[in-house]
Amino acid sequence: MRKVVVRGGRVIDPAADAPTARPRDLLIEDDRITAWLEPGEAVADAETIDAAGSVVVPGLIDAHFHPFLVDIDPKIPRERHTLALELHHALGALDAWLGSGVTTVRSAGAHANHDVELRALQRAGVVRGPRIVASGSLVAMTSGLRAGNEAISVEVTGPDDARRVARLQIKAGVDQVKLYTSSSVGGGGGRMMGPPGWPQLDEDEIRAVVEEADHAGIPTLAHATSEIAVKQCLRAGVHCIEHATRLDDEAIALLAERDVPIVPTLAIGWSLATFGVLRGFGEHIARTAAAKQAIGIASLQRAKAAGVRIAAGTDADNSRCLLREECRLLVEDAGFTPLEALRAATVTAAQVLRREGEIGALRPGYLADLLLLDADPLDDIRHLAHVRGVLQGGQVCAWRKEASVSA
Amino acid sequence: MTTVITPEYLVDGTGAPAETGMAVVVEDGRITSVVPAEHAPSGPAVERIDAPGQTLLPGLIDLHFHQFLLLVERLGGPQEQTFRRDPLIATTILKAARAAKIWLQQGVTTIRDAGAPDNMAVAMREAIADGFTVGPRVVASGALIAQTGGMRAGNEDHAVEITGADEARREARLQLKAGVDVLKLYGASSIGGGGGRLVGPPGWPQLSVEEMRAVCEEAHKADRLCSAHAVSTVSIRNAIEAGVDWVDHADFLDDETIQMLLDTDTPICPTQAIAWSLEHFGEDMGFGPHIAKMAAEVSVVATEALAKAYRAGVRIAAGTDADNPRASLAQECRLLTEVGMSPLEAIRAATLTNAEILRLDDRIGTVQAGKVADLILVAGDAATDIDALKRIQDVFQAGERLTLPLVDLSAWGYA
Repeated sequence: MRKVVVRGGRVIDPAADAPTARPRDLLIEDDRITAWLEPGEAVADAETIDAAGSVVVPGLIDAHFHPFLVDIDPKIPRERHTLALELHHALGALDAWLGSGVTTVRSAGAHANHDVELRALQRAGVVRGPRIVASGSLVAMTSGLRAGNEAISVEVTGPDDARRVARLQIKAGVDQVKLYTSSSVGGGGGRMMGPPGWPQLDEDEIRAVVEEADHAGIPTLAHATSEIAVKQCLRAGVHCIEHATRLDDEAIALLAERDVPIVPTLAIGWSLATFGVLRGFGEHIARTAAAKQAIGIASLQRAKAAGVRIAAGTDADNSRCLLREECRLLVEDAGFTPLEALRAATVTAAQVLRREGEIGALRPGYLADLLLLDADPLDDIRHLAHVRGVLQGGQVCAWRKEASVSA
Repeated sequence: MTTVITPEYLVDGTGAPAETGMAVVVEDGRITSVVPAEHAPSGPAVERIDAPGQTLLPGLIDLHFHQFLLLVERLGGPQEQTFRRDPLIATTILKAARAAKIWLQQGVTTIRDAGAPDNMAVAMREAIADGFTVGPRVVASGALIAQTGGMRAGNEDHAVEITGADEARREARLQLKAGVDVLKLYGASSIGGGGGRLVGPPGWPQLSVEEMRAVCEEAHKADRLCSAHAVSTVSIRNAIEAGVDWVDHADFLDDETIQMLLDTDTPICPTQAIAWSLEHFGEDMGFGPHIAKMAAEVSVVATEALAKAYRAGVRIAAGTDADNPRASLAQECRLLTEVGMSPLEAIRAATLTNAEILRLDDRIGTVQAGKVADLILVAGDAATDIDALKRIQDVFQAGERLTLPLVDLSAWGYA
């Protein structure tokens, strides 16, 4: 058994009632935290990781990530994407996320269940990166995805067809089933443009998928950007709502009553509004993104006031769109406290992944996923950007090179 | 560029009485004002079009036209109505482009294409909007959504045949993605009861309510429209129950069905012009005498039903379902006056009412400031003489005056 003590740091456990950065050492045995130690407490046969001067927080969890959609040049037409190109970018994105302190991602969809394959390669130790919790292909309605993007989905019509696809996805090994229940916030694309976020899958189609997931003991998550779509999902029993851009009082009341969390994904909207034109999108995309962002933030604030649980996810399509930006936006644009933002990216995200007790906190029994920061993120959420080191399952997987100081 | 049109009479499409002495001012493709002629702008930069003895109206809207069925050949000789699709696809498309031009020169500046093979009406919409060919603005239906075995043998290429609500829903979703504006249900047999080896009662109900409802739901989710071909009373009631935005044809109407139309505020689009042309010119067009006879019998029943619906207050649209140029929208308006509508009401049906049904009334359908300058000039006073609509003098598309004729029809024996 390998023993490691993380010594000299101040530890934040966001699952605690009123967490602060407290001096504490952590004993790690193999991949798990096994004890909280008093500072300096001796442990026989243990390696030491020097955390002096650092603030230690749990590894972050990105609850909405698409490993195969990051940093691919939007000018390359989708039909010219090769698997090699996509894999190259996926590995790069996973590396970037891990280096920024994200130790687990919920993959919110990948074509042909490629995220399930990546997860298998991770478990075999071939590929590194944040631990993938995979959704595989999205379950969408016939014609649901815009022209050119269909490959990420399996299209269904009717509850029986939806049930069949859910069963196939479960057999393929997904950790959760992702539903595409409304159009994009832009209303679609190509020749099919409807109102923003118009409902696509019907309630009985959604319900069939949820039933199958429940039978298999795995959760569902649904892309739902309008109040009608959100309400259909909730009535059908969906376990987590993604984006939730437009919410009315009824939708918020239902979310609160059924205690269904939302993942607002502010980072992608911010990124499109800020860098969209630079990255080769049209001006109208950037403008639309900015307008939708304001609507999404207003919905988020009302949902939060009603007690709806909120998890942090990026929906990133580029490597600037990191989870720390999502946390920053939750604080600076949506009025969260730094602690609320940190919990969204740890405790609540772990609940959404049904991995509470495993990840999202720094307690005995949890996986040793942790992040060493230069300063306390509860003082300023921007300190999430100052990462000294990252441990995943007890292994150091990123460590900043310090500038050498000559005598 | 400013254009001022000063007609003798102005009929604005709202149903209001004709006005005299007015000027319509057009700038950048839009109507910017309608003012007494003496207050109209003048000067060297203003193009002035004086139209003494003529009526200015909104461009007409045909709610039921098939670009791919006008002046195409029929198979099977005089006993059959089966349309022939040319084996060369280019010929099929060029004929559709010709049909679009013929309707435009008859004063129809917007058509709803009521169904074409392979969603080709969408292609026509885009080709016209992009200026590749001249034609009316197209609001496109796709292939008809019909029940398995619903289309007569030989005409199946105008339809996609389905069985069950899920299959109907799937086809609806595919057509919406392909860009269809109005999903079109084939909710009944033809008035002749079918064709080939399957002939039932006139307009017997096809598609179930559940099948049609699935299609309506998909259209409405995406903020699109859905209409149904429905002929018999049962088929009309089925279509209303399923939630269609309007009923095409609606030839048979009893009191219960009329009440249902009123209760749900569902308009009907009667398409009498086609039966009229078959009754009077069927043999010239190569049909057997039984077709003319059937058309005449249908006309009697349908005209009576329509008169009753009109008196009861059902919203009535104007559409032709034409397969020949005589079955024009002007003729349809003429026939609407024969069931009791005033010329102004018939014109409203062919302009503002149709625009409202298509939800385009913020842009077209009346001669009012802010609207797109789709306008026509006809000889005579259309408010008292509906046949003035057959005497087209000028057609303006978004303020552009067309050089007429676009197609010389004399070669086909049409005036």
